[in-house]
Amino acid sequence: MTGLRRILAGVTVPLALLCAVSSGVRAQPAVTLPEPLTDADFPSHPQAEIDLGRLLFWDPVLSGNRNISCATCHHPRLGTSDGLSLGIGEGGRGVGPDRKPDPADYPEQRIPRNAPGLWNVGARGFTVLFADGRIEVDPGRPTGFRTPLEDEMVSGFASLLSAQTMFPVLSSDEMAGHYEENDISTLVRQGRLTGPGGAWAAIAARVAAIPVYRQMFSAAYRDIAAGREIDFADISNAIAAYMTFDFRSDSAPFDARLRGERRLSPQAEAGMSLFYGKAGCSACHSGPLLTDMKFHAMGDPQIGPGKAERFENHQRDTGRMKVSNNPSEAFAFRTPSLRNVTLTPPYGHAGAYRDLRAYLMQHSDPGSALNTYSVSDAILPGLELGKPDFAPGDGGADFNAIAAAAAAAPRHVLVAAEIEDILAFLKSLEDPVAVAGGRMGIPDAVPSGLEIDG
Amino acid sequence: MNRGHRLLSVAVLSFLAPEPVRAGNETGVLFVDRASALPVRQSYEGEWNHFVGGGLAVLDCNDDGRPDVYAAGGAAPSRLFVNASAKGGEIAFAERPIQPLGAVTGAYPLDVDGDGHLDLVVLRDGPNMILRGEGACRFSSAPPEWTFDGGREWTTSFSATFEGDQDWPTLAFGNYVDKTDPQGPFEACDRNYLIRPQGRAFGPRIALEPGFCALSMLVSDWKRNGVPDLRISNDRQYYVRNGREQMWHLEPLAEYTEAEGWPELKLWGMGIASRDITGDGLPEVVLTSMGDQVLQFNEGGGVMRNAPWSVGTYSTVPYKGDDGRPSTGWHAEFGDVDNDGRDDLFIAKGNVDQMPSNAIHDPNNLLIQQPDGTFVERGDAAGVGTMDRARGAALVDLNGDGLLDILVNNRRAPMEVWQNATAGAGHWLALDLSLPGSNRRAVGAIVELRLPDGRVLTRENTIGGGHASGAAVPLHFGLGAYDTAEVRVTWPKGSVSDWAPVHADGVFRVAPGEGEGLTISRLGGAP
Repeated sequence: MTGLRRILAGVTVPLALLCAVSSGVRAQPAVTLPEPLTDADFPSHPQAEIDLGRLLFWDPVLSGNRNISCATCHHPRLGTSDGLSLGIGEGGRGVGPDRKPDPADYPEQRIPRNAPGLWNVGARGFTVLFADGRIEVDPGRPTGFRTPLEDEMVSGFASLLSAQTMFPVLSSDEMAGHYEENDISTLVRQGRLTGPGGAWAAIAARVAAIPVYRQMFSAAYRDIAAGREIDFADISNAIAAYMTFDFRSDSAPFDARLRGERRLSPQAEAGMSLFYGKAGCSACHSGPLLTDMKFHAMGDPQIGPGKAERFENHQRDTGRMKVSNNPSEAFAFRTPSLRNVTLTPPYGHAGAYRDLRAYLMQHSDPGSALNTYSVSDAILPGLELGKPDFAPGDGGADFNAIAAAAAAAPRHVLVAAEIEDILAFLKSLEDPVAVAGGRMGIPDAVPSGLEIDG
Repeated sequence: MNRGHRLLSVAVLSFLAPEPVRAGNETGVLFVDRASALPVRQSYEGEWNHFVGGGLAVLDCNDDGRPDVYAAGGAAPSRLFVNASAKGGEIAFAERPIQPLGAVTGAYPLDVDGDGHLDLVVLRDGPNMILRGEGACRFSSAPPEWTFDGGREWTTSFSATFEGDQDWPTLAFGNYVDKTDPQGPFEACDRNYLIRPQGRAFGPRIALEPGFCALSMLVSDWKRNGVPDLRISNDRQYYVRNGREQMWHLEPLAEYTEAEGWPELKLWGMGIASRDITGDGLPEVVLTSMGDQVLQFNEGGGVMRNAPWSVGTYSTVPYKGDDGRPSTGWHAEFGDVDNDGRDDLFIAKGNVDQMPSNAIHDPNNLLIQQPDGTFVERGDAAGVGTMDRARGAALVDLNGDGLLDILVNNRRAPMEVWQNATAGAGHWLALDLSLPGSNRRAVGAIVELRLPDGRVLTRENTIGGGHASGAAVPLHFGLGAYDTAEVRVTWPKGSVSDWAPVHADGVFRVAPGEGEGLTISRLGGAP
């Protein structure tokens, strides 16, 4: 908590003062910069738990049809994302822009939202997960957090990130598969998730049946060594430990700047002044994680299936409102962290823009591009679907409603040179560790023996 | 409630309001929690085979004018609660022993053998049962000479009718997933069955194929042409692709086709409510589902059309709470809870169990019909908007005060009892149809109540629909400001009575009289 308070408090740094030693620096107004991330912002985990989580992160055994792992759509070579506007989950083959539908297991729809990068998701300040915050810290709830299962949520997970990790395996389009394709998808579609007969227990049993995993769980968790059965929460705890360690990103030029070690290039410094100044970016992209963990309707074009359930015909994604039931939060999405943003195209909650510059142009004037948006700005692998990818009408994604929701968003019209400066600043958020794909690299093999999406 | 006050408010409103029928002040609809009236915790429990079901059967099994209730318990005990409420007093129940049956999903009351005692058709995951009513709320297994074959399927819906000159009813059983299908549970819906009488016994089961995981059935003369059909609402969650909402001709037995104008409609169908709410005599239907709750207007000639969004009944997401995911609807039932002469709609809501696609905290709906025919949500204001996993329900006057009370059976949560305490409600009456000989409750009759302003309220006396829940009680009408009306009955075999005057604020037995007349006798209510 002290870390969070520190983050929110921030510090004012007179840029002009810092820059004065160098010649030729443009005059900069004073801006408020957050405090740098430190070890205190990240939980630490034993190496045995991290090593176990890494293999689970890469192992397709967690997916119903044993054909997709966490890494497939959160790939270190692709900025822990997948390089696609909207991914193909279960039923795809290949990685990133090469990912194709499997004719023998054809996907029913695209994943409705852009796969986020995972940088710093293990940080203590990361209190809202998923673009709609359906998993979040919520002191107003008896358990202190919200999950889609509400009071049915199991216990045993060690962190919010671990709780989040429990859900993609239950999504038929992401990892579980469909209908009676496998034991997991069958349980999921029946609505049987918790308990000894539920989907989580079935996945845990798969993992527990693999001797190497049994040994690794015993090495990582004393009570499992003493005889406790492996629970799905143990799996998600290990994966969360791995992500916290491997996807920690606090060694970008921006971090050095926060620590007062080095200044950025003159253009990035100018962009930073805009970011923390007249462009208004830091109003939401605040703190060292560059997110306020709050929800804002910013008028991004929405493509793809939307967050429609199978029993619904629309293609809307009303974002936070579908979680909170609060109409004032229609089409609002959690501010994304901008860490390594240059490594995680496309952009927007539905990945509508492959190009960061184009994204920024319309983002500075929310909703301005809705009338002219072309789906050619997206990166979508070929997929034959019943619904169109671009459906702006009120029976589809409802662009008019998106525009109306964004009407109150602040506008900061920027000239081209200013956009270039901001892009230079965003480049300074790029961490060599992230460029390298994290610290641990891709494993050669996983204990299930299944093929990995390396 | 103070009767003088009610009349006073009626008079005042009649004076002030431009529309005289507008008697009840709907914003005053209010229910008081009487769950403590149940002597034990009653709930619907069990694993996957009890994710659906959870019905209530409401019947007056001891002929005291107070409806009693049999509650399905699934893996938990199913119980009979005898109504011990004093007239106009607090609702009270006492438990009465009844044959213990496991895996009960729902139940419907009807008088099978015409002995004047209501029997109970008990639906189960396993052999269905008929419990024969013996009076005084005693029940025994149907005697072997009834030759009733209860099957072994997972039964989740039921309807019944009296066909032609038969003395005994025709029974329709709707089944869910065929659990013995090794390819299941998806695209593995079991077949449904029709059982016709053979004299004073039942004949063999007749398969209704294909079945699409039926969660509600209703035999209704929906075209008002004297030819009842069997509607089946089916759950796409399990038929997945190749299935539809069904309508069956009963004679000869054949499913309606698209060629004859029955359009293909796919729903996560859970429950059926049927009532004429537009005043043209043709029954509308509500089909509960996931997300949109579908109200279809009956346009005549066998055409049903989805109501416009503005009608206010879609109730797609919870109207309160901070869970914005789509709702899951189960039992639906029309009833005039404020006696203003306009039927309102109750929908039981609740997550299947742990479906992350749908709201976990999903409040029940109480939709109050407005003078313009739209509906406004009052579940929260009325107090009945509970968030548990509701399944079966009933709208029935439990304490004889003329106001419809509400019973709700919940999965994994205690059953609810709501006593209607609406101030300023209008006049009412309830009609208990009676025929000599067989079909003593006149199932299939159509009752019309003509108000002094010329409006006609139409009610079909059916067995079936809802979600695994049915009631065999006097037909309740709200009359608004009027204290008299005229009644006309189209009896099951088609004869139509003359209009006969009837007074408000009582329960009346209505039987065929001389010629086209009616014999109307007061059973209860205010003198």
